[in-house]
Amino acid sequence: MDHEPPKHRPPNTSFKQQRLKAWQPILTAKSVLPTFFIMGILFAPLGGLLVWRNNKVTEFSFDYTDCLSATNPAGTEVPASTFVHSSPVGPFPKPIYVISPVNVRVPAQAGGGPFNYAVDRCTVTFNLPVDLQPPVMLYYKLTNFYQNHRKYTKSLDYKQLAGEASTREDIRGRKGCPLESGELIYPCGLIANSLFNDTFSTLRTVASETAPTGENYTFQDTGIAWSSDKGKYGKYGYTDLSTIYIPENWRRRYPGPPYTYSADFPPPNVETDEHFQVWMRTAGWPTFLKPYGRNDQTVFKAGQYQMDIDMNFPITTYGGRKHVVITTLGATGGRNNFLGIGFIVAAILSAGLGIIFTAFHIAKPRIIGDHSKISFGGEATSHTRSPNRDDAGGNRIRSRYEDD
Amino acid sequence: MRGLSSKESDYSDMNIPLTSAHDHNSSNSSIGHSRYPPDSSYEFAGPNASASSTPFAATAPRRTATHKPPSAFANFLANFTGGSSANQEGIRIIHLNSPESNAQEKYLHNRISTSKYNYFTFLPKFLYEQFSKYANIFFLFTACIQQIDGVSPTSRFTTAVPLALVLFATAIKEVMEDLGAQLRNTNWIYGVVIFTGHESKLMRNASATPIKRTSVEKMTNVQIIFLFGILLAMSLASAIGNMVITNNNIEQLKYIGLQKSTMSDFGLNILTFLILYNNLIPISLMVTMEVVKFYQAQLINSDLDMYYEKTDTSALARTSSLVEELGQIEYIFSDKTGTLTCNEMEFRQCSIAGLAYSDVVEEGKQARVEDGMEVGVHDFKQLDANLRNHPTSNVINEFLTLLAVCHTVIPERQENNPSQIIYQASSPDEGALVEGAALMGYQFTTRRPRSVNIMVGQNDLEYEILNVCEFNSTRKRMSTIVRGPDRRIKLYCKGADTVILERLGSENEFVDATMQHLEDYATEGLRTLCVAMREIPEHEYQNWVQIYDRAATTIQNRGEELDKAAELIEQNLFLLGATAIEDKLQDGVPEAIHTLQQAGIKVWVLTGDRQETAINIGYSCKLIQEDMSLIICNEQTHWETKEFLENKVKTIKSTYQRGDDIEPLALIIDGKSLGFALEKDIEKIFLELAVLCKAVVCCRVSPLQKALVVKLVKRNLKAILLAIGDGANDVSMIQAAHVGVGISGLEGLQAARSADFAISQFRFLKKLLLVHGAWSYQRLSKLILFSFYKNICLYTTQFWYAFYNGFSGQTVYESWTISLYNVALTVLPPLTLGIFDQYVSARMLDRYPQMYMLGQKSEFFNVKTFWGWAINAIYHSVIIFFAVAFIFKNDLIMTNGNIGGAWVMSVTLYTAVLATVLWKAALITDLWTKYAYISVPGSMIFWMGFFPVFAVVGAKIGLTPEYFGIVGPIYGQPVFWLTIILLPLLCNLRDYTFKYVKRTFLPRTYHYVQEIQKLNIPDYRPRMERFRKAVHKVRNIQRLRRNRGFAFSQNESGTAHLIRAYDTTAQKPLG
Repeated sequence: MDHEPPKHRPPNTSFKQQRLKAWQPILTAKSVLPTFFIMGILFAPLGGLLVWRNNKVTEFSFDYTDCLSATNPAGTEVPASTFVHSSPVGPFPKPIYVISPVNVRVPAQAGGGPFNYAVDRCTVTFNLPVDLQPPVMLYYKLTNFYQNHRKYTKSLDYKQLAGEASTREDIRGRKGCPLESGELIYPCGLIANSLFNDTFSTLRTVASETAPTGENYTFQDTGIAWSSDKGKYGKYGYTDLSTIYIPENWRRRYPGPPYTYSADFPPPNVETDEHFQVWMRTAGWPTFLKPYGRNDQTVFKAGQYQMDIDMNFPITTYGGRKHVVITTLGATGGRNNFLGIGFIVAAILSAGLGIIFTAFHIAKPRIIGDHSKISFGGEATSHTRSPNRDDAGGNRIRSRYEDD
Repeated sequence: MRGLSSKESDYSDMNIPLTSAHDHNSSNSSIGHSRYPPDSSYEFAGPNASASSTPFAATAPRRTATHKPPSAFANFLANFTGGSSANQEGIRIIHLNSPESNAQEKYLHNRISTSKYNYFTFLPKFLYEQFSKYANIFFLFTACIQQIDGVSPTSRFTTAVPLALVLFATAIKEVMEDLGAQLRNTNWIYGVVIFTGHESKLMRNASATPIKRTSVEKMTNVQIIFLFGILLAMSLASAIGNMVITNNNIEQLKYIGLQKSTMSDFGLNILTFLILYNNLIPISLMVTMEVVKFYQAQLINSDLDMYYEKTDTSALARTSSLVEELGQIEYIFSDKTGTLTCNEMEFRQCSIAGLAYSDVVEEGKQARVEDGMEVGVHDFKQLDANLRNHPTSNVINEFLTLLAVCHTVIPERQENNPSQIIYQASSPDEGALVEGAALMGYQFTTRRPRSVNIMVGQNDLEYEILNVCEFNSTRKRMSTIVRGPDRRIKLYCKGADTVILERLGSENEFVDATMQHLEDYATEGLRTLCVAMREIPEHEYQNWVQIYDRAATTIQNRGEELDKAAELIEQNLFLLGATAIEDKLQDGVPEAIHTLQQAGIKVWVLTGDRQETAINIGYSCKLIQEDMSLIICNEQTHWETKEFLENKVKTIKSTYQRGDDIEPLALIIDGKSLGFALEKDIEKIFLELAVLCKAVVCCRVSPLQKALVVKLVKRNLKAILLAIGDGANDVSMIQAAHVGVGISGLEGLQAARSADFAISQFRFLKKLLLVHGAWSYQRLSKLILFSFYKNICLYTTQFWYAFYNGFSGQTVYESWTISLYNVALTVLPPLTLGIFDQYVSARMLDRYPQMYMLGQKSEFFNVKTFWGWAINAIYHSVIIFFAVAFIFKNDLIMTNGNIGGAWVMSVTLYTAVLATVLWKAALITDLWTKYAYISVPGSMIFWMGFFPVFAVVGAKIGLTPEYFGIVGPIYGQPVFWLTIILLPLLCNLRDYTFKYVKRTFLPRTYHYVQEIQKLNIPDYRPRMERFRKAVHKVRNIQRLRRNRGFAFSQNESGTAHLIRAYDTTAQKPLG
């Protein structure tokens, strides 16, 4: 009875007694200075490599927004500030464009008569000074277009796009698309409605003094959307197309009114329409690129080319601009030096700090674990100081203690 | 009632004793208050009962009867409870064996519960408590507005689900912590209180417990309000931005289908942005803090260094909410008896007839004859021998007789062992003296109103007590006039050396030797009394007793008259010798106090003891040191006190202004002066003086005054106060202080129960504060700062993104991913920082107590650090966001020529932020335990592994359609990997460099200590310490010549006649 084992004795474990095995790193010169140099040594070549590889990417782009007013039949030069050609070559002529009204003929799918609509066609003539190695990408670039606006990004109906024949009620229930006019639209929503609908033609080679002969260059419109995106889309599920309305911004290119689909002029098959899929993958920034076509096989030979662009997309009313971007691909994708420069900056910063602190360390090393720097009880005594007393007095008291 | 349980006790048992109660009980069926059967066992129920030593148990013996309380108590109870009908008359009549009639009286039921919740109250009570926190209200509000259509930029339940998780975790913690009481087993039940329930003392005390919040919490709350202000400002700015952009570009933005923005749109937009930025205030902070504190409390409970083997008690953090406050204490208010001392007096030495005797003789001090003189110290065996045959045997006889006869002690015989006598003494000193005499063979056995009996050898000697001249603080002595068995009248007197020496006759041969011994005793910190006697001739006594009787019947100034009378007879005394009693300090108290003072903590001792005793203890426990000058305030009136304090403050200040150093000061103030000093017009002056002193001792203070002193300091200084005590009289002080610590010792549990922490030894306070407190404060600081940092860093990126999306409220991250950040990915680092981090080891904190000042000065968590961290978070978010904006310019052409789009950028940005905050967590982790590895790199690895699963499954079940097919393209992009390597390092390069610069060029004490710990550098101080000790000893002797305490701790006057009324031969009521 007398010697019962203690009941309340806490267990003697390293967890409970807070004596866990552990590493206690301290940022002293010995450990810190090498890390500065290591970071410098690792990042500088990495940054250099990135910049070097990135500079091998050739990008060719120009702004064609103002082509609408380029009525001079001899051609107008693209605005100089928007013309980018990244290859290190000598001066060469800027692209020129000219606008001309044309009629586009849309054939009927089911035997009816064709539908014609008028469009402004921009013909761009440009010189490619160097060969571009495949894959060569054709992008369009929009500025000041808020695909990332909260009201815009979520304005779509995933089920309708997946091929479900969603009714008006289904769509209203899912809240993806606005149904203000009460019409059942396919594909519904703001994103689909504002689909980019300029068209770019095949590049025709144009004889010139430098390159008297050449070949046409074609961009395919497959492989421009994410391969996984195909899984999101299915062919429209509606059978009675006459009850399905065309998105408002598309109607100019369809017969009507009433602006409903028909067997002759059915909705696009979004399952295979990669232009549509590309558009539906919304951008993160108000300035963005979207792939229009690609060529993975043929070298894009230097020479003079001509391209027709049908100006359907009213970017100016949106307050933005549109560009054509033709580029090759590098190790990290497109041409963007920021990452490489970032690494180089980090390396310089780090190594620079390393050098500065090493100099300090050599000039005046700090003694590690210096006992004399710890005041023993001095601060405790300083509490007897009068509150309105200056520091000198406090130090005196402290020093007296240290003499003890 | 001490140890009375709540739910455990089976109240139906209580009916059983009643059925077999005494006949007169059952025949009357109710008991009037005037009828206490003298032989029946009873106990005055209620608060009085718990003050007595009577235990209470559930094992009720059969003869227990229950009484209504005596009228005095009943009135007290009535005053206390007021309302209920039965109490109006102050009488409770309880009908035995008749539950029906009792039911009519509408008494409170017997049940009490000390637990916070029960099944039914849990939900409402818990929710009420949780939603009284600003942060939780805010998140509830957010969760609600998220339900409104079209307002929320994120998914509907992305706040509700984390909030529910957080509340669930808190609920689990609450259930685990839930403060119920236990029934203790005791041998006897003397009485039971029934129909009181919530009126019992346990509940009364419990209900009074105030809610305490720590300064770190208060500070956090204030910063939350500021952050909320910033949040509002950001939301407002964004909403304005939205309005401007929408209205100015309404035509251009028609592809978005916007209407002209109205005021109601504006209002809704504010809500949208509130939701978007809401986690600027970290939702998980509160629960993380609670969990961490809970664990810290567990670690306190399980600390072996604070486990007291003797009583098998470990430390107990009764509430986990105050742990970090332990790291910021600036003032300790300590009780003395039972807290600093064991409250055990031991008769250690005596000097009789010029010869010194001791229970243990030190080596080298043994008695020997030098130059024909007996010098040195004899042991008590020699005393026994000398009593038989030594020239001084007669003196020894008188000395021991005096100790056995002249006192106010009551002998109590053990029932099961009548030869064993327990002495009940109101003053432990007296008890020790009587016990000492008994040890020497002069056993005090019986007290009757007019006589006492002592056993000397086999002889039972009866001494008639003629008069007792009581002790009081001006007399500093007590005398008893007895008529011995030989019919001679003797005056026995014991008291402080100064007063006894004044009253000695001319022929006193032992004075010099005794004085020498007294000095020796005082040097050892013993409490001394001089003992003297005189034989009084019969006629002198008869003359004197008339004077005395007249004085005793005076109506006005009786006390003074009695003192004067005593003065007449207490003279011409013969000095027999002196006694030395040790008021045993608890182990390690001087070291603990010294260390605490080194840690910058001021210790104030508040004691009911007399001034001399208090000073003496002050010296022996190192509270007052030899180099201090004492300011003793002992004034009698309001104006004197004021003048005294004002003068002292003026003198000290002018000394400082002259630039002179003065000795450290100690203020000693007695209860009466303190009473004046606490009055409105003086309290500031008193406080001003007190804070100038290194140590403060308040003597003879009442429990109320203890609390008043604490409150005074609390009101006027910004310091954090700790009160420590062991008894019921310390409860008010413990509750008044920011942190209350109870000594769970012998003195019952009232103090421990009302305290926030209970420890069994004062010395454990050192580890509790210097280690657990310091750690906890530092850990909590890091936890809070990091929690805010990580959330500000993530959520300000949302704000930068608003500039790129037309202030539309679009979230840059997928909404469930954001929730994941707060409930999973960044939860572990704060937890491990809070539970496991040690900026220095426990040993170092103990070795360098001055590290504690970091907490006192709020070095780790203050407005400056908070906003420093906040700004750093913004700095990091700027770097990360804008770097990503450049890297992902034009939406990023991926390696295969496809365009990344919004969500590739989003995931990369998110991962970069996560990596940055985890690097930061790594940078501030001082101790890399395995848990740190799991939580810091572990969280990153978890995210990298979890994201593919989350993206695939989330897209499949429609939770995160944005992530459809995203994993391959993201993980396949070199840009993704390079970005999440570069940006976190670039961000933390500043933090890393600053940390190095601080250590190298602006080092603080803790930097050095960390290095000393890491490199295991030995401490050179031991040699210095030894030297210091030698100096200390020399000074010790010098100062003790100046001040000497003597042993009298009993209450002033008024008890002697009560004691004398006692008749120990009369049979006690049987239990």
